[in-house]
Amino acid sequence: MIKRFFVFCAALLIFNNAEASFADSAATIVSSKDHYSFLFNVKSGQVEIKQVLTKNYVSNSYQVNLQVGETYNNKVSIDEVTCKVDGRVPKGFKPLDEYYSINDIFYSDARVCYFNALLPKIGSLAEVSFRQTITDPRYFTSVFFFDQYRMLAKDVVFTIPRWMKVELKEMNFGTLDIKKTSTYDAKLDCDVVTFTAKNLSATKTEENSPGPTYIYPHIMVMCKSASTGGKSFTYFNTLNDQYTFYSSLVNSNSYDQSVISNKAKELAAGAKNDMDKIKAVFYYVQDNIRYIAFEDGVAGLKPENADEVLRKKYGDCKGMANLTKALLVTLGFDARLCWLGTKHIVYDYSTPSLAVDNHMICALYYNGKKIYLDATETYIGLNEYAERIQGRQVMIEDGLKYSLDSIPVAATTQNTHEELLILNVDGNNLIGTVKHIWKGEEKRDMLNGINSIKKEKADEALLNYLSDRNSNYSIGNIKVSGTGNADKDFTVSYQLIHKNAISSFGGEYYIDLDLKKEYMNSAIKIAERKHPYWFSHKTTLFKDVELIIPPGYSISSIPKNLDIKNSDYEFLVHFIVQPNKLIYRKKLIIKNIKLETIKFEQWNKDIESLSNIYNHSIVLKPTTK
Amino acid sequence: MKLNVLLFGCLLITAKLNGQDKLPYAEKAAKLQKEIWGAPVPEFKATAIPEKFEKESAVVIARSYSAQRSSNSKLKFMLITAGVAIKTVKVNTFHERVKINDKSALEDFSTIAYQKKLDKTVNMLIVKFANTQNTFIGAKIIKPDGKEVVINTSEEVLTQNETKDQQGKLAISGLQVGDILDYYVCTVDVSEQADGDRYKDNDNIFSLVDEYPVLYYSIDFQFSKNVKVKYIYANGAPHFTESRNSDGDLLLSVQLRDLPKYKSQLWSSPMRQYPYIEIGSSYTLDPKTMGDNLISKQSSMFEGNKVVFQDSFVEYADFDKLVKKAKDFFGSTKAMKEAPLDTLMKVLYDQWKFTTFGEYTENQMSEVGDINYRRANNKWAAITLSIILTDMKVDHEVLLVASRNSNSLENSYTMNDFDAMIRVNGPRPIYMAFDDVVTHCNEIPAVFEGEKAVALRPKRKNATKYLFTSSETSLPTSTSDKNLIHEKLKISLLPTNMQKLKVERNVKQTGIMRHDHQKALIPIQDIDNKFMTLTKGEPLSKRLSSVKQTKKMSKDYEYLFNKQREELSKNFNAEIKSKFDQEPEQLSDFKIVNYALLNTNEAFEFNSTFVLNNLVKKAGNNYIIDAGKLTGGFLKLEDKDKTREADICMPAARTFSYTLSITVPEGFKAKGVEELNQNKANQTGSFSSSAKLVGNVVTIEVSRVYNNNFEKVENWVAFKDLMDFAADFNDRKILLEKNI
Repeated sequence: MIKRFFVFCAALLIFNNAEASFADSAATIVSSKDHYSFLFNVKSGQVEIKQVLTKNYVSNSYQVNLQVGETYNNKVSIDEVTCKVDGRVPKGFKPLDEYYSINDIFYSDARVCYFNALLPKIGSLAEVSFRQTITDPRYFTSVFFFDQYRMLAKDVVFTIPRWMKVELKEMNFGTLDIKKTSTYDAKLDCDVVTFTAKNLSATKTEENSPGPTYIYPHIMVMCKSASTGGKSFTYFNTLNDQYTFYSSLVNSNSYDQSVISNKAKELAAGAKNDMDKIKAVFYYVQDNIRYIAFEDGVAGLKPENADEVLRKKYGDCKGMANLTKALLVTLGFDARLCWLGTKHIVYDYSTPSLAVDNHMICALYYNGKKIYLDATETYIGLNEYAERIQGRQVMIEDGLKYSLDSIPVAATTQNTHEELLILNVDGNNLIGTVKHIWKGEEKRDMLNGINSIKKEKADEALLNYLSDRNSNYSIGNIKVSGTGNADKDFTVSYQLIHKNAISSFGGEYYIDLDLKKEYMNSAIKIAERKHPYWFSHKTTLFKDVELIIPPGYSISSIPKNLDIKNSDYEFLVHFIVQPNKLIYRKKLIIKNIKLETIKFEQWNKDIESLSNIYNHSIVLKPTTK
Repeated sequence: MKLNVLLFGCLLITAKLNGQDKLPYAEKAAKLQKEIWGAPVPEFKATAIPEKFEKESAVVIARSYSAQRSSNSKLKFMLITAGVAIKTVKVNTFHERVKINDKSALEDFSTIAYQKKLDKTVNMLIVKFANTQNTFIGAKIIKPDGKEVVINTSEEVLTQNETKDQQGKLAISGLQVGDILDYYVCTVDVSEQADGDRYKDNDNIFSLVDEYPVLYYSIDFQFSKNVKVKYIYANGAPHFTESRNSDGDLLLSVQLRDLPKYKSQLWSSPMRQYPYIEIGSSYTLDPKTMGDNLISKQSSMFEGNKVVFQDSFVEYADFDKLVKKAKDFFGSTKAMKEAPLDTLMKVLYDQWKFTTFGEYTENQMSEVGDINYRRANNKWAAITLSIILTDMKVDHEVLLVASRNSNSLENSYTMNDFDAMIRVNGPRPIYMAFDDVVTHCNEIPAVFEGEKAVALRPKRKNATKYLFTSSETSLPTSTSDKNLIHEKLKISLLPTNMQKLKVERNVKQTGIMRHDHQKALIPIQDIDNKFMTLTKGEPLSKRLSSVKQTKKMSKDYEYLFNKQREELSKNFNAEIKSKFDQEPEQLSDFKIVNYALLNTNEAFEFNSTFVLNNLVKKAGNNYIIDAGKLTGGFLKLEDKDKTREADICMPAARTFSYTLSITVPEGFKAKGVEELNQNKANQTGSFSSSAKLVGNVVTIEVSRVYNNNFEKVENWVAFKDLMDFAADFNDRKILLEKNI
């Protein structure tokens, strides 16, 4: 993933700082003002945005160490930083400047300018400001209203000369107290647009939350064009402008055709048909090109040459998409590059902006259909799509034009984990056979996990997973298949001796047939959680246990079946009595990954119902009793 | 191993490299590459690995570490005067050839981060004191077909790119599973600033076990003849071959083959169990009788550091502050002198503790959670108390001892490798360890129990010189009954939901078993107040105001301590969660009953009431209680820990005991109670559980005893048997059967 958020906008970068920290009550921002002015720089002959960000903090505790920083990059300069605590510049005040290390990104041009300000007492005041310049309006994409500290008031002011065409789109304002006013400054021939927000709560980092563009109020800034200084500038007036900009980066891309051609021929050798060739290429890139993300200015948007990616055996999504396309084109297929924003981003291409997308993949036109190939997703088969791109709008290259499409939305059955057990009673133990089958993203997660572990420890890790680290769960004669073929399911089968799985009282057997009890502890702490909960992907967990009733015994008690079905998920647990056997059949389906906060209460009730089943034993009693 | 050599700082230089000092970076890099790859030993040409290693993630075919150091003194002329500066050049080369067998290893070896250049040279008018570090890297890939591909290191990216500070990252291009990666990292340090000249700055430990199999490993050092060198061979490590070249340089060399893999296991002490070599070097302008020069003269690093420790016995101003406070405590000098020895020692110890831990700095405000975890400077404390006791003519010794979890005393290399405490000799010895805020007078920290120690008996010569007689001794070991956890749990099924258990829990902890919970649960303010009252000390506000940095921070600390107390429930919640592996519900009545901050009151005791889930299963009209899990569960061995070749190094001999009282609800009867009666004992310890039903209460008494803090591996089978037996109790259940 490109994660180009870091390149685009200084204001958004503040968020990324904030996202890394928990809501902090040690201080409050009593007032904050972001002022953005569009200016024409005669010297450079370009339009620039001067931004002045000021914040006034009050301490709610003693010895509060404020960490203040702004990230920037080669499209943004930091011109001046000021800080006063209780009216004075702190002794030795000197902002530090260093490379900003970002998780999962090998290298980016992001830097951070930061300092610590100590607020000694309750009520201590700090005033900080950053003066910055954005040198390319295309990179000015968003202004966010939040911070890691609660804000009592925030003004965002845009001074927009009439020669500058820019659209401001309000996002996630909802019921928040944010007011907009517009005035015209005749002297400067500028519109002054002011947003005044009050009582903004602090950010809160929560696992499985939607991306920030879904949940935090912000203004999407779309710089369209300018006409000043005797010049005209077109930024992203239309989506075509954005496409033209992107395709210029792609078109300047050239590579050694013979290298790609040789590799393509090698991969296609032995392929019996087109689909074999396509798979050979896709799975080769998946399996042999390491994902390493580079994020460096224009290079953050420009794909690495296909031959270089092939030589280096590493690349980011752009490079991997480019190599996939080049190999397929060489083999005579119609393959094209695509841009898209993953589910992390709320926007689509109806709002042309660099903030819209963060990913590149390859589209293959084949037999009148489109197949999307995302080689950054390992161990996932052709025509299977990761949740993060499903349903997302894609912009597909088409010479001088572009076309828009959407990635197919996969059925919940794409990602399944089936577990099939046949069990017999043997004293206090359950013995039998077990088979697991993983598909789609469930398979991907398993294989990613196994392959991230050292080879000699992979078997141990798999056994630990299968047994849920329960040393009573003894696994023998294990057989594993499908680890090296993205086209096939990943399966594991084994013989099981589950010691002490049965409690015996007065000749009666009390049996628990479910080892893992998925979702048992998945109740959401409603009082603490602020944001919706997003599952990583849709899934179907299926468990079918066939318990052979031992001779001389009959079923004395089984729990009631559970049938919970709604538009978001299904929890189905059935106990089926058959001659000499009991079937425990469980199906847990997550149909919609987005669990909104208003549904938390129902979710918790349903989890409690599921837990109740898990906390019920099956009772077998002697038939003579 | 994500190769990260940003902190890789170290050694060496050759005459050749001295000559290259003025060369541009690229030319130096090219020359180095030629030297390192030009004429490899056969092990660095090998491509085959033994079949038995095919299932390994990676195999180190060959590894070499070579370090060279030269130091000399030269005059530096300044405007007014001249001074002597030491110029030290260190070159340190790490070279490795690794077979990549899986994606995990590929990920580990695929990137490298390094400090490419760092220049801290200081210019003082016409004089320059050099201090530079340059790192050179090289990598090549040997493909399975034998083709060699040299990595273009100019593909690096610079994360810091200043003239005097460059940090680089390189992704190894073309590397795939099945390849051999042959890479090196060479650092060249030149310094005239004497900031890296001492043993402590050049202390290197070579562990002779590894996370991957290592087929060949060579370690080579070259030191110019005036550099002092000290090394240790620990736990049976092989020895260097020593020689000198024509310049008189000291050459140390060792070649090893088939290094074993490191196996991470429960209850191990790697610095005592695995071989390693520790080596360092020094060149200083100290007078011959001071610092490193003094150390260099001794027979071992421990002896050297011992002498430096002894030299630290100096009666600084106000050294007898504690005596004055003790006098105030007793009311008069006479009363103090007439006090029994053990009382006097306890008062002095408590005064020391309050003086040490009752002080707070301006920086501790931001890390309030760490305040209870502060550790004393035990050497400083031991010296101060020893000077005081000598002055008071109290017979005592200073004991130098190393932690059981670290190097042995004789393998100490730096002053940080051992600790100091005091033994007062009397009818019964009194031990004073200067450790943490909850350690009692006459309590020996568990990490020192049973350890060999060196006892130094001081004799005052004058205010700046003490003489010592040295002898060997051993510290006693506590018995399992002294390190005890006893928990009483009153358990009942909630009438509103019989699958939830209400637990009223009382916990008593003694010895080592109480330390962690005391620090986690007792509010700082309570500890401060207790010791203030005990020692008749000054209030917090006065203590803070007497120090410049905290002069105006009285309200700050008051606020902070109150806030910490308000969060007490969080600490109890966390304790219960870690014990029962679930978030408790309805936590109430949590309270510390006995703080146990003094050795007169040894058991730390606390109460809490809460509700637990998922420990009761419904079965028709009946309920099954997971009785075994109400102890929190006994440790169950993972498969990887079931076989063992190393001795068992545990924290202490210790006892866990539980009294579980389960109320049987009206209308039910308990079944399976008699099956909870079991016991087993052997030389390593015991486990017993007994249960009885009296009225409507099932009472289960459970006890698990570990007899020793250390077991030879020969006892592992017996030890494991007992662990398995105890762990079986985790699965024990009681049926509450509905009366018909």
